[in-house]
Amino acid sequence: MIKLVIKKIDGNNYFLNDEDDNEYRFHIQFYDLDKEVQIGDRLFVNKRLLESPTYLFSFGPLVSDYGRKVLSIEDPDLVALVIGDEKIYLKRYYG
Amino acid sequence: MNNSEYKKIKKKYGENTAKLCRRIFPTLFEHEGLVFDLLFKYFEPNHSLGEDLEKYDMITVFKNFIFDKSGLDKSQIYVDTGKTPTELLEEAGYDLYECKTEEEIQYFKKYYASNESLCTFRGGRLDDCYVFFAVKKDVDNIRRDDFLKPQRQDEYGTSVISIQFTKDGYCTLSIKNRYNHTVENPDSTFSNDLENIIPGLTKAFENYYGMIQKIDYENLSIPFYKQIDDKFYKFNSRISDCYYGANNLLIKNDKVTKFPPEQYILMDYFLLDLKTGKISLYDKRIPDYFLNSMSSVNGVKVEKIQGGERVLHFSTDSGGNIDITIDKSNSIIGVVNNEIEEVGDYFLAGCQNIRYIEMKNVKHVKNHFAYRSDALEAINMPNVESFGNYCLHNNLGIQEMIFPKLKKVGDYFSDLNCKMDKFVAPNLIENGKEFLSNVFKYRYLQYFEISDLNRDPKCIKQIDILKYIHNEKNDNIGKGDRRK
Repeated sequence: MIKLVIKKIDGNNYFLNDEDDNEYRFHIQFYDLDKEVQIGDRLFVNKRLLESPTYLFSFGPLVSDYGRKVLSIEDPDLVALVIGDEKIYLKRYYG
Repeated sequence: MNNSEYKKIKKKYGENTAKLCRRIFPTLFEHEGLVFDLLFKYFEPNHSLGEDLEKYDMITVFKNFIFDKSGLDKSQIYVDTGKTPTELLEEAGYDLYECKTEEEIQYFKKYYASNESLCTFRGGRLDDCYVFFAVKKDVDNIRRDDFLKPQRQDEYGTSVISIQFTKDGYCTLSIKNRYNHTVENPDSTFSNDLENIIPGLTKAFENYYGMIQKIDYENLSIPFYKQIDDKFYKFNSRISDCYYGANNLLIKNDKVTKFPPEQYILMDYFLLDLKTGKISLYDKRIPDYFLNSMSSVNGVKVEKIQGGERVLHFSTDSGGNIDITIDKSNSIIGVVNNEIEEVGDYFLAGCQNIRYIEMKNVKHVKNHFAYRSDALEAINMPNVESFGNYCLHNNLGIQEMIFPKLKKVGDYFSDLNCKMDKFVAPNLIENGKEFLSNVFKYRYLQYFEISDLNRDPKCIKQIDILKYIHNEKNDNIGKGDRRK
């Protein structure tokens, strides 16, 4: 997975950098998070997510009817959000 | 349009790119030389740019990028028909609805299959987005059951679309598909370009609803293209800090080096010296048995074939031949090597574009064989008896594997593939963990044959499922018969 560090948050716009210092702006809606995402938190994504033609994303709990069934740790719809020291696995929702 | 400019684009970027530009930039072509100059400024020439943009669904992003860089006023780019979105969509066969309340959104849930419901229906979307639905006038006649092989742009997928713009100031557009996640990129229906629904719709949404899309070009990212300063360079492979580019370009630490094409071909991360026929690694730390498999080579002849592809015919010390096919970006797409019997670790492990491998005499393969072969379509190894761990690990799309003599495979063998419909290895008695694990989870598999002596419970379960499928489909197929 590719590690992205959250550098700035503006509403639902998240400005992230990868380890090569490439910059990304994603518009993200997180669903059902107990904690607030902060600057410095990390998002681990499959490289295929970065190949998506859109940068509007929704992520939520793995056990949900929205989105595809996540089948493995290398599933392109799986992301890992690290808030502080806590890692939370989420999946991509569509629509 | 200016024909000489078209020819210049075709020469530097290939015919498909030239045709694409002619299609999407009719207004820019009225300014002589502008399209070519913009391309040349922002994209290092390569003959597969058009195909790459289409493959990754990036045409709209590319179009908006070039429009933005053109410096022209938007009024010179998008057609203003003077009509409202409702009127234009009416012409395209849709009824348009603007949703201002949650209840209005929920009304459209009825059009979606239960397992294809939009996340929009989860609630709260209006906090973040302007939400519209466009429904085909004959929607009642378009039935989900009639579409067994869903395609994003087919009649069902586009019969009910949700057009949404973010409220964050960027007004980013997303067009949602009726199939939702059953198809690829459902949130980019019509490639997120309102002009693809009907020309003039972009301007109509601007004029009538104030939806002025602001594209953030700092964010532009095209798969397999590396941006250095302002320019995008295509690369075939990336290993650690090196980007192995198309057309003999090597990118390291944002510095671009070109190997002289009259002497070298940079094929993924291998460097072929055309004078000696010898292949070497630019980065000697990369472990890849492919180099060993070519150690007996003593010369090479280059043959041009269709589509800009080339076959490199290598002669060997034993009087044999090895053929390597490269595409127009110099990436390895085919290997025919019937000279070797053993394959060591990491054979072509980093080659993502390889489409076929023929090695008829190979009996034993070690670990990480064609590890990243996302694009592999065919493999011909009739005498192979064993594979090590992580072989064909990242292969996603091969539909058929036939290994008549295969007895043993290690862990993670082709475990990410989800499209295989036929696997034949009648002598396979032992497999490692996660063997074809995604294949077993999806239901595309139609024929699966391994040795009766194999006691892996997952395989046994799979065979039972297939028996059930076949009996269900055809009562004449007896129990235990696994033929299609």
